Amino acid sequence: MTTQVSDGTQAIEARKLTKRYDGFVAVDGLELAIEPGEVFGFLGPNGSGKTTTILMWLGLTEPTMGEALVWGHNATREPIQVKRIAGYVPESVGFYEDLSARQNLIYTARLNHIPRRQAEEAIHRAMGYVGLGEVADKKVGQFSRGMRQRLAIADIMVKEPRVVFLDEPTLGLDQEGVNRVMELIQRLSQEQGITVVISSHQLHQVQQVCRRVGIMSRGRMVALGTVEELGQALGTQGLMVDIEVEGWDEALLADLRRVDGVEHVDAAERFITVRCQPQTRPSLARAILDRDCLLVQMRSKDLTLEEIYLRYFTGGEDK
Amino acid sequence: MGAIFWKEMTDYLGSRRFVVLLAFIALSGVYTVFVAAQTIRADVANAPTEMVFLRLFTTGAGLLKPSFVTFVGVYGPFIGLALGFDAISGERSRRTLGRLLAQPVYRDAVINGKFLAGAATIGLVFLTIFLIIGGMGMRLLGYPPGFQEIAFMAVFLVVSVLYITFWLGVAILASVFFERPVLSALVSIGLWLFFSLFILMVARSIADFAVADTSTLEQQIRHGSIQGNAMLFSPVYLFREATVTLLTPTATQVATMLLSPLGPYSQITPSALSLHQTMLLVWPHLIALVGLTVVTFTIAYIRFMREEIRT
Ligand SMILES: Nc1ncnc2c1ncn2[C@@H]1O[C@H](COP(=O)(O)OP(=O)(O)O)[C@@H](O)[C@H]1O
Ligand SMILES: [Mg+2]
Repeated sequence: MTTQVSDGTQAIEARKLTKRYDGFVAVDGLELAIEPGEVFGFLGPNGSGKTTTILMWLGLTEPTMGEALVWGHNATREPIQVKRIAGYVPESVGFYEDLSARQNLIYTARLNHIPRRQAEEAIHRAMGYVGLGEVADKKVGQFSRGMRQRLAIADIMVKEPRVVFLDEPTLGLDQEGVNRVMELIQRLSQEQGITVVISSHQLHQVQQVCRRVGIMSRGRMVALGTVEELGQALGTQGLMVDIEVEGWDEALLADLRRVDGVEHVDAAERFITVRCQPQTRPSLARAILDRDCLLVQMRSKDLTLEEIYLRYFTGGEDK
Repeated sequence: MGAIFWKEMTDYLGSRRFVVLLAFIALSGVYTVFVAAQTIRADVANAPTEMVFLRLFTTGAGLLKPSFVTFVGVYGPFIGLALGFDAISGERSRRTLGRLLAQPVYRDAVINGKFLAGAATIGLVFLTIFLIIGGMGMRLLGYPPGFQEIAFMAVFLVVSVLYITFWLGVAILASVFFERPVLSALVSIGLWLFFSLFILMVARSIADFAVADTSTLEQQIRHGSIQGNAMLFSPVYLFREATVTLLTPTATQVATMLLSPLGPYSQITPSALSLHQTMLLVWPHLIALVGLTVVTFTIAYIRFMREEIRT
């Protein structure tokens, strides 16, 4: 495969990338560079602009402003060059139901002008790789969701891409399905050096395989870095404390909210969850005792990625 | 575009939908021709001897036994609609459109490939049916068609394919605008109803509006010609006029015949107009038919090229 690399060595880039829909800003001046071979977690709640950004990288949607680049190719001006080297697994991917899995991939290969012989080999290899070798000649109509998702990965492998975009690849899969898909993605990157972008609104599903994650909220990237970096950035700011209290009431919650260093208070059944500065714990206990409530236990935990993520995006929503 | 064309073509030819359609059309077509041959033979004494082969296409026996031309004019559009209504909407509802357009193909190759594959399929179907009818005609009438007759039949074949391809375009247009194939099918059937039936009312209203007072003969003629011209925006009527001219080569006052209470093919006393003369008469119809198809497809094309693909 010979594709000229223009400047730099970035596999995927966004420069002031912006998309507006009649005044509504779906992606807002996104700046991002993803290195070759990197597995990047593109996170954010529903509606935060992940899909829109991916569509712009693939030249399927035109940016209102800014540039989407894949291996130096501007996706708007040179969509064909981009599509030659990019694989795309859309959100809830579909296939031609009354064709077999193999026939579906043969069509993909033909659209990519891969010679028949070479295509057959590549398809055979890819189907084995994703564990669908046995059912290659079954109609896709009979495939489960997990099988379709893996077929979609085989589908992008056929064209030997340099970068792949997977939009919510774990959506609707059970835990085992999620694990298999993530493992395949990890192998793709490790064995073939493919650059991967995985979008997801479920952080814990992608965090093991992603070297870096970026968190989108309302079209902006509100956090970017390795999982540890994001954890540290937040760790200095606060922690979560779970307190089991018998007989709490609204007045107690109000008291807790007034304590210095407390950022957020939530309650459900017997538990009160408080986000606060680390040194605030004694004051919390005092507040509870002052109200004559029974403090059963108090447990602080580090922020999990899920919480980091929740925090970033709720923070984004507030604005 | 080659890959898309061949995929669509094999899809069409291998689909149950297509087999059912082909069987329906071939059987009905054969039946109309069979009835026509019997009618012609029963009336040998009065029948003109020229261009008998063409009369296989135009002879019907009442409403329940329409002629082949009438059959194609009325039911033919459904072939086009059936082939096209899920062209784009089907890709969307199966969620394959995004994957398809993420391959290194130009977007217009997708819609062009589908359109051309549909048109080629229609051509293939009609060629097959015409060959069957030709063979049957030879057996039933007892002699082969003359060169003239073959030439007229060939032009009729082309007109039929163009006519049905227009409806393919209509269906593809609907499939671009509507997400769900069911909706796209309903809308294209609605357009068929409009062009077949409602156009008559529309044309009459236009004529009424232009010529309010129809007390003199001159005004009536003007009224009639305005109505006739307005109806030429409907491919159904374009097809009808073109085929009347083509298959009943003496039809001179096509427009008035169309509006006659006995129906368009009632006053047939064929005597040969040459192919050349006939072509001069149907040429505008062909151009108009192609023009309407181009307009329809262009709208579909532009819309599809601009559309954002989220599925
Ligand atoms: N065609 C459109 N017209 C108007 N708004 C749109 C359109 N497509 C997407 N949006 C809006 O853009 C925002 C971002 O959507 P999307 O990129 O799909 O988010 P995500 O993939 O992160 O869930 C959403 O609020 C969505 O409603
Ligand atoms: Mg999305």
